[in-house]
Amino acid sequence: MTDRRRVNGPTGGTTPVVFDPELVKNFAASVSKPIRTRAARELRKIFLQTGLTPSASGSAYFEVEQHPSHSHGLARSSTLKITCTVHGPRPLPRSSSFTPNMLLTTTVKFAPFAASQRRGYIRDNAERDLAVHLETAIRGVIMNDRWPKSGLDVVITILEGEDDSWWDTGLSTMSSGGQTPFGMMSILSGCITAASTAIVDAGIDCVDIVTGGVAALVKKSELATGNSNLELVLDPCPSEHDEIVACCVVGYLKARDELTEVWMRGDVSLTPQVGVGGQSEVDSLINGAVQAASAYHAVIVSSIKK
Amino acid sequence: MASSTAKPFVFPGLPISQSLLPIPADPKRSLKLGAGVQHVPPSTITATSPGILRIDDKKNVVWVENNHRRYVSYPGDLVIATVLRSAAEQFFLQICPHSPTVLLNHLSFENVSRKTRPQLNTGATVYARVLSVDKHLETELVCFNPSTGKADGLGELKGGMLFDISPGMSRRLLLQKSKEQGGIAILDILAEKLNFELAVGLNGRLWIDGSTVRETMAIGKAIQEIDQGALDIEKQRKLAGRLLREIGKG
Repeated sequence: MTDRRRVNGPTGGTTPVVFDPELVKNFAASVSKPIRTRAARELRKIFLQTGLTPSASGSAYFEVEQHPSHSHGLARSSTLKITCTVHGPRPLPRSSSFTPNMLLTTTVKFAPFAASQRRGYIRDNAERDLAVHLETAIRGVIMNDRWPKSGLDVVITILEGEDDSWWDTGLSTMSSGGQTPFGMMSILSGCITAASTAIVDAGIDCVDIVTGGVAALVKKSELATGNSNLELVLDPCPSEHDEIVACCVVGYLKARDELTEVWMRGDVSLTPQVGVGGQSEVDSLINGAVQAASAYHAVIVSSIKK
Repeated sequence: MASSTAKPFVFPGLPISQSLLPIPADPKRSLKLGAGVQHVPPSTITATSPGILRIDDKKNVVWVENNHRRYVSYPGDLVIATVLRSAAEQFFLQICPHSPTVLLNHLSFENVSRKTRPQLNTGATVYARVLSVDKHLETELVCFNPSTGKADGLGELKGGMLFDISPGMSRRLLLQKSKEQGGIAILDILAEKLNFELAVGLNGRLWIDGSTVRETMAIGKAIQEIDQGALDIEKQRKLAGRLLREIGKG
């Protein structure tokens, strides 16, 4: 009979990991934080594969390439790794009421080891927020009137998420000030792309393929000269920049040229600016994000073609 | 069947160009849209699911064929279903796991009347044809040919074993010329040496009844291997030879 009243430790016992503070201090001084080496409008390469979960009706795996100079060792920078499974369309439980359309349920969960700060097993607010954003992004593409009285579950597990800070030793590049970190934006973009691929893999009728894209306005470094001190970058990696002023993520339908989701955060102006091609900052952010999203469309098509 | 030689790959949202659409012999005949294509008024046709675009000029039909794990039923499909329970008038069956139940009327069998209705227990396997599919109603199956009243091989499958294969593989197995069009040669080779019965359901199920359990297992595993490994005819021949040697009939 096991002891069910107390939470007992593992029977084998474990050895705690010791981080030598001296080592950490020396190490922090010896390596520099990652700096964006690719061009402002260049995206990181992504890896996308379908059909990894045999039991699901559709599934996809999404991964973003590592920063080339910080891809291994202690100073490994974080990237994005997402798996998505789609279950359904399947009958709803008997207790649920009649629905003329298919009910879409999205679940986003960070793995406990996904970021430098460990996550619990119960979904927190950030995860629920991501799930709502994801649902609005993919709701518009599914032809949900074809399956009345059914449900579709889209389950996303984030195996590795991007941190705003780089290498959690107080080298934090910016403070999120209690707000949603900017890393969440690129995570949502990845979630949209992965979920859309998995839905297409499941053979669920869609009007188009939705893809996620991110663009950000970042403070230029001191050395750069120009009229504006802001620069538009596509697919930003938060730890590579000193300060992100604003960030925007879109869910974009390429064939129909429509947006299903726009999420913008930060300090942006609506008045046309000289520095960003005569557009307002809001417009240039959305256009940048759309440009990033449409680039991923070709990757999805080639991954489902296999 | 499909007359097109080139096989264009389509994906959701892709408009299908007019040149790809079938040219009907009678211009008054309207174009029929099958699975995976959608009409966007006024005159655009776009794909809604990924796959190979298939065109039938004779019947003036266009549809998208794909090899997904998920089976979508269409009237006329042959399926292998499992009995869940029996009600007053009909049986409730399941075609795929986690999919809605389908109906099979007690009187939808060959030579049955109200007095002599078939007794199917929970878990029984039935080979049936899809009669009607409606998004608001439950799918209905039948176990006889409505035009002749004959069973045509449909009905309960007694004994044997069920194997899971991909829906694409079952479509290949069911082709009239499965060797020429589908690239399946193993059944002909095995049939020269072994006695077995086989039923293919388009829902990705395969029922085999060999003379021994060992033979049944061997045939089923071989077909699954051909499905997963995409073996060509030459490799299938080798596989069949190895299999017959293992059974001791080579």
